[in-house]
Amino acid sequence: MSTPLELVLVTYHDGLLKIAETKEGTGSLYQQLAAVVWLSPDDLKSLGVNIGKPVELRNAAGSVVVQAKSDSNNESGMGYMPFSLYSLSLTSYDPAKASFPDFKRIEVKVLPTEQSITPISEIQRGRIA
Amino acid sequence: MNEMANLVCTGCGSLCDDIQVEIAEDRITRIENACAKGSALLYALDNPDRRTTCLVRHKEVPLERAIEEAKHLLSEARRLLIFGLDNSTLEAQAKAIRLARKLGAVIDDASSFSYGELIRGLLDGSPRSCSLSQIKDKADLLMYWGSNPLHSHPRHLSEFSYYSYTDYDEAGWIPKVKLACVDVRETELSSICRPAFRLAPGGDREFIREILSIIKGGEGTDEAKAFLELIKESQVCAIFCGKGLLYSLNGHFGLFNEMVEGLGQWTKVSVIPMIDEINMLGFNKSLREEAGYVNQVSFDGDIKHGTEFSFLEQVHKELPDCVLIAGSDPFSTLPQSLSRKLASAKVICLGSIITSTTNAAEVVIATAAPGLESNGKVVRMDGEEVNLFDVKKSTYPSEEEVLERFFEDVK
Repeated sequence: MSTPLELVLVTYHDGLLKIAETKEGTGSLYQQLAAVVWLSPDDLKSLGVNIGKPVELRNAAGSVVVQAKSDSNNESGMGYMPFSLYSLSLTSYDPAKASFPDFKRIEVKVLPTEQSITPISEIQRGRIA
Repeated sequence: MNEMANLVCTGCGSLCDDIQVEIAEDRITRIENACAKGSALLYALDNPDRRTTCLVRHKEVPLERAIEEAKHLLSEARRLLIFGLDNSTLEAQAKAIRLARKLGAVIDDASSFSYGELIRGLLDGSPRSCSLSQIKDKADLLMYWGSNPLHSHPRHLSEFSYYSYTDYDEAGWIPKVKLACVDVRETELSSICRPAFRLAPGGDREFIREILSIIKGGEGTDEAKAFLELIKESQVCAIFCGKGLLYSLNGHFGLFNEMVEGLGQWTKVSVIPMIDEINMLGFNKSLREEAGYVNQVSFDGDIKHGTEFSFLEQVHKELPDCVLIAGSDPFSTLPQSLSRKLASAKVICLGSIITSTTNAAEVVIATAAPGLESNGKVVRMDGEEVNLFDVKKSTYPSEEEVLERFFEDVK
């Protein structure tokens, strides 16, 4: 069992994801484009995770399983993720700490998992439950 | 071939006004000039599977039934919150503000957790802004800070900035203007910027401090020195502020404004927020004219303003028992914990296409899409007023008409 890696997730605006959402709503294409995290090759190696395999991202706000991707431009300890319902599952809002939710910069633990990618339907249910 | 109609695209805050659509038998059959984002929206608005219908507790109902149910919820509400309107026309915004005043409601928009402070400053003239048409061919330095317009505003570069320039270098393909960016990662934009300043995530404030330190005669990093050298070579500079900068500064632009003022000793700087929504600035202007504040206003008794009236705080503390949402999709943009709390209120949503918010709302009133099926005015990111025209009929009323009915009928 690998030790979880501590990461700072930075979210970004993905135009293709927005187009998919507009065209088809939050369906399978949305899930495919949103449920990803870009990690440095070094971090992938230390996690023992191959490109395209699932990883669990977890913090006090929640947890999601997404697909790990590799970006050689990434620094170690940083992960990049499109702004979506997936990143919002990890986003917290604590007005005592900051006036805005941590939309852009989210501290998480990442670890390998055998679980499947979290279905978008599950995330949607969790948002109104 | 059918005649082409001209329209203003509402796909993002750029509001490109050169879009041509062909409409045959009341369906869009061809779109010209729009980017992938804009055409996706136009086709979605024309797609019966993507259009919302009127719903009461998730069951399809006739328009009148949905309006009656909404009026009932509004009249029963003890703590009403009206939210959104950033993608609504000025006319609809005015009706919503009037409704909030009549019903003693709290009213707010997404600027209260995004560009609100910057917009307030721009409306007060500090920092200075200018129209996008004033930038083209006049600014010699274009700086995108925390923004990747190729994803957020796909035609921004070609319509208003870098690629819109008519003056090219001798080789004939590089516009005679410097394009620079400040960002935390390599992007499609940074690959064409010379230079591209790369910061650590959350490092914008420190970078600005370094720049200010040098301006005041102190020390600074090489990156900050290079930034200032670039500024000193410029005579007219436009800084486009994106959400990367916004959230790194946690919405507080005081230090940034101080830096812009300092840069003014070398170059004329204009600041333009890269607002995603089509009419956030319009809402902020309208509410300020009506209530004196750009957002976070309560009309319960005297006009009150403060963070306690922000949408986030209202939802976080579960204060509203009824939330009227128009021109916005907060269920797609709120952290999960707040989304759950919002779902516990009675939500009325006015909208054109199916969204997470129409899926969650207790009452959905399907409305005509501004700029395709209804007229109106909006205020672009640079403060210019833009007219939207209807080019297609709708069986649904405009937001403005629905809000007017609420105003007339709800006591």
